[in-house]
Amino acid sequence: MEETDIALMELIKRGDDKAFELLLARHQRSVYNLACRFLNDEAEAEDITQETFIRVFRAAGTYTPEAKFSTWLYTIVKNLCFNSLRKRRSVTIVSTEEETLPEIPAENHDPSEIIDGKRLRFKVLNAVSALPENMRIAVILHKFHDLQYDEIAKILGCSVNAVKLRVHRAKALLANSLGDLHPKPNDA
Amino acid sequence: MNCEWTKDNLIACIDRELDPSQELLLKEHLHDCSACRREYEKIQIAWKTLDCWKDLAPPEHIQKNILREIKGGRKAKWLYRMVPAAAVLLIIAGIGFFYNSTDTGSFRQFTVEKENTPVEAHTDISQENVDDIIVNLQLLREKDFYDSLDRLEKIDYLPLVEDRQEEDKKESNLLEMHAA
Repeated sequence: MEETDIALMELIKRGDDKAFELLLARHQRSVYNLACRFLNDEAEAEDITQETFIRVFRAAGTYTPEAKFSTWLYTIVKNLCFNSLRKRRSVTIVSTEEETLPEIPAENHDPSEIIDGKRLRFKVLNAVSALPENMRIAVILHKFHDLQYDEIAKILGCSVNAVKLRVHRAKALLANSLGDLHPKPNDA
Repeated sequence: MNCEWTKDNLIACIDRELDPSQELLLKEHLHDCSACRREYEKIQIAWKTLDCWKDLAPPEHIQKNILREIKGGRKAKWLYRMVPAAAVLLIIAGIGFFYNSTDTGSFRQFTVEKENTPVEAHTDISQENVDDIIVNLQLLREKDFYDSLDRLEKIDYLPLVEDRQEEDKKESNLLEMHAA
């Protein structure tokens, strides 16, 4: 029978290294991809993945399962990602409600254009990277990690309505930048 | 049902957040309004297009680095715990070695003096002996008193009562002589 994440954390607390290896194997892909998509930087995503799991290991002794393990884990990743952005840009992050929505660069393309997978991925990456940080993290968690709004709200430390609003606004912005694309059926 | 309301609620409709009645009205509007229908399609296409951003496999060295860091950290943790204990033991051993290696050391002297201190002997004392001792003690105390008196007499600058009388006589004789 497969151990739950919380059970594995309990084993790690007692010094079981195998349990940590199992937890690492189970979650490193999602942690790495969250950081990678949010920061759009693979090297930085590697550092954040390492730092996240080192923090998980060190915090195992004091870990109390108040919420789902993944919520706690993604909260660590989110904090590290925002710290990394602060260091990189030295920009104070304000709430989405106060942010002015940026103009996503419009693509001059033929609406009937059929683009290959590589170019499409590049356009998607640019469109998501152009989103404000608080919207971007909400979209990534919702779209790529299949998290519900209430769980995202816990991770981001805001209300469910705020998350909903961020995702709705992000969808509207993405519709402007990606809505006219016609990917090949096997690309999408 | 107008275009403004429809555009405001398109995403809510896609996310299935509208009431069934509202959803029905919105879809009826989409059927009739090509502009709103186009907006609806754009949102759906954009959201669907995100699927092409596939997961990347994390590099293998990440796992190795994490495990190495953790094992290294655990060793360091033990080391940090052992260092103070080892330091205390070293200090104690050093102090012991220092006092044992020097004969002139105060600790050594102290231990030697302690070794040479005579041990009190226990003797049985009868009641008669006790009485004798008390008498002797009284005599000793009186002796001390008389000795102190002797010492007082020997101090010549202290005027004695007899000497004062003689001086008075001398003074009176002198006065008489002056008067004569």
